[in-house]
Amino acid sequence: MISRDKVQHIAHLAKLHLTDADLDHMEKEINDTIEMFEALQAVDTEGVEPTYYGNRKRNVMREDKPIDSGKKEALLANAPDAQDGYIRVPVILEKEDA
Amino acid sequence: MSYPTTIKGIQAGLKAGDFTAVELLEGIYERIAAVDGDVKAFLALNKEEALVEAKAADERGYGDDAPKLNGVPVGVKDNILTKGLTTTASSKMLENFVPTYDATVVRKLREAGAIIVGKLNMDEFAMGASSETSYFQTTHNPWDLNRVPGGSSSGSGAAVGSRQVPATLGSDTGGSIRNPAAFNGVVGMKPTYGAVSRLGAIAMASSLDQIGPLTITVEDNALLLEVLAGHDPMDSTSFTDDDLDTNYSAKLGQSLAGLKIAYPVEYKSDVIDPEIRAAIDQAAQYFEAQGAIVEEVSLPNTEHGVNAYYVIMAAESSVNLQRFDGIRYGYRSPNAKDLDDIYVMSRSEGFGDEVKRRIMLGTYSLSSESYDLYYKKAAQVRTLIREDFEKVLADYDLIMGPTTTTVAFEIGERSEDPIEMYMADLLTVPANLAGNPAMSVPAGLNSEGMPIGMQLIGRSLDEATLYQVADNFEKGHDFVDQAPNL
Repeated sequence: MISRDKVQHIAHLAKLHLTDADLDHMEKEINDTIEMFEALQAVDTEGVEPTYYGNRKRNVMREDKPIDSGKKEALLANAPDAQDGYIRVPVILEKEDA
Repeated sequence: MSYPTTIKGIQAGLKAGDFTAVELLEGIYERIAAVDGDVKAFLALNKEEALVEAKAADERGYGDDAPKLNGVPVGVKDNILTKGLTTTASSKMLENFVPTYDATVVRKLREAGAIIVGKLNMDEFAMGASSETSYFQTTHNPWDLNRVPGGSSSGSGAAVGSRQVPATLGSDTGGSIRNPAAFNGVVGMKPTYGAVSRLGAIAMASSLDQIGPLTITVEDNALLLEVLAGHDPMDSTSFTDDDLDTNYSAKLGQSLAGLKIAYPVEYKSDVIDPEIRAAIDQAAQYFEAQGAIVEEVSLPNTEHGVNAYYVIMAAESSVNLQRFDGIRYGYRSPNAKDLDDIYVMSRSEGFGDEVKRRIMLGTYSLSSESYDLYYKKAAQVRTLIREDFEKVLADYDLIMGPTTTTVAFEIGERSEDPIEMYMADLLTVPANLAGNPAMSVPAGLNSEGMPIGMQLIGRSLDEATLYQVADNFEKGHDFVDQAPNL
């Protein structure tokens, strides 16, 4: 069982803002799902290697060389805000008052 | 005029000069205009470009040197990138996103002469089993418009089921091709993990995602997979061409005599609708009558599949969805005043509830306090599930069972209860966790006239045997002739 504060903290880590109404149902749904996951604890996995990948291919290496995609304009067109060939974002550091 | 509905039929008609690719394509857009107002499978049509491509296909002609799918119209799930054609993953986050390149599978389709008809609705970021999490629209099941089409490749299943297009691409992370294939009465293949490139598929859970084809017939499905599969240097998890034998049609028509088919006791359990169990039992008898040996086996870790799957899928999804930050592409909140606002407000306004729920679950299960308890534990259970399959498939050529526990359910019936919706994946997630190929093939209609799907699971990279068995089953029945009345 995780608390409402904990749900709020997870949202903060995930860069999500939850309204009080969101929190009401999210708290319940997350706890219901975690309760469902509890059934996994009954499985004996002593000494079992975890599987993290979809197949057992080894690392695949290639030469690390830059290529020009030639798509600068098209890529910038997908940015929410762009100017002079750069992506624009709001001010990050406020100017300190002199 | 009316046109053939299957790829093989279309190819024969094009070759014989019964119609041109342009005429066929116009016929397809007329069919879409007539039925898709009810079905709502397509999010966007690609008419202008498709007509140019159809003309080019007709100019290439239909001789023996023509590319493999010349003039064949195909629909594409909207989480697969199409250059210049908006690709949304059915999310507000990507409402205006225009890809700058084609996914490898789309490039391969184009190189084979296929024509991209349009983009198909899905659950948002492929999270769901009904299309109800789509930001844009809910797709309706063509067999009963009050029911869901399954998901998450909802439009991909419904567009083929309603005979709007002969074939579509879907993606399958926990059953998202097989579930809508079953619910719409069509053939859907989730290939072996690594058989098909994932470059240009909007990632959900990278160790589980695979792209695959949905079609009306088994032979069409094999033909399409022959075009899609193959090594891609841009996807390091794709098998090399030395590992792959992409002649998926090789065994079509071969006898089933002597084949050993495993029918797991867990796939006959009480949670499966009795009419579905009866249909799969009948299929087992059919296979025995063809000379195959069908025996009961056990996959003892099946019941843990959904839990292991949801932990792993949510963890990987939460990481993959970190890229949506409102900076480089996608939705940016107009109310954001500073950098943290951009992240938080864009994500909170751009993602739907189910996506947020999975990001939250994934973030939690990857946190230091619960990593061992949930994520690592689920990964260990994944190993046990994989070993279950390895043991059975050492003695048997393939595994049979139902694709889903129920037929298509009513729209709205499960949308308020996430866990009930997760259970739709019970029988399909094990193949994703293990990486094995698995397909759904029509196995008749229930007493309400709704389609039932049979699932066939094979050895790694042995899609050819699944197609052999499914094709034999299809030709031994008249399920292909059954189509919804639209």
